[in-house]
Amino acid sequence: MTGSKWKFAGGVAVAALIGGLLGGFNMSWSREPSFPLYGLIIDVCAVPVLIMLILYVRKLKAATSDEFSIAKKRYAAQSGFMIGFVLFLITGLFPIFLPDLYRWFIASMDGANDGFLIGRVSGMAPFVLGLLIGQVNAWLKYR
Amino acid sequence: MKNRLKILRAERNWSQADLADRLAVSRQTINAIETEKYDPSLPLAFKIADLFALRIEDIFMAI
Repeated sequence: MTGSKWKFAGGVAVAALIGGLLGGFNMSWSREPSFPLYGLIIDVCAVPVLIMLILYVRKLKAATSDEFSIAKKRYAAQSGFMIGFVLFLITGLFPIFLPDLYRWFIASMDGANDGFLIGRVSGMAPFVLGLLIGQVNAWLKYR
Repeated sequence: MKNRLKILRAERNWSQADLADRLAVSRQTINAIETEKYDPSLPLAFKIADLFALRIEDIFMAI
């Protein structure tokens, strides 16, 4: 942890600004009848600058990171994912142990689109919940 | 892992923040090492040993 966090934040902001501007301009240029030559020249000059800036920001991030905070975050993510997966497996037991409730739930839906949306949300929810529990778990372990 | 960090720090009248500054880590890192909740990386263990002019095994005990 030898670097300044403000320098890192500034680096991220500048990289995001250049990336956003470049992306926006390229979208605009690609809608023109033919991709303009000046756009190509700007891309050729700006993309290496952006890559170098991203590599520099990565260095700044390493310099501002504290090894204990990295260990904490890693523990939170790993335990969170494991808890998420266990919760996901538990939700799979719902139709086995509560078949009537499951059938009622399926019948209550409007159609396939409803089922698709609920499937997406209920498939992701255990992992989101798991990551939150992982954060609490890490906080309890290292407080 | 047991360690003598708190004793060594107290002998020099350093606060956790002082030691953290000298080692370029956060105060939370020092606190976690002292309370044996976290084992430092090998580079940090070497830095600690260098700072106190001791060997790593004089500061950290395996048991």
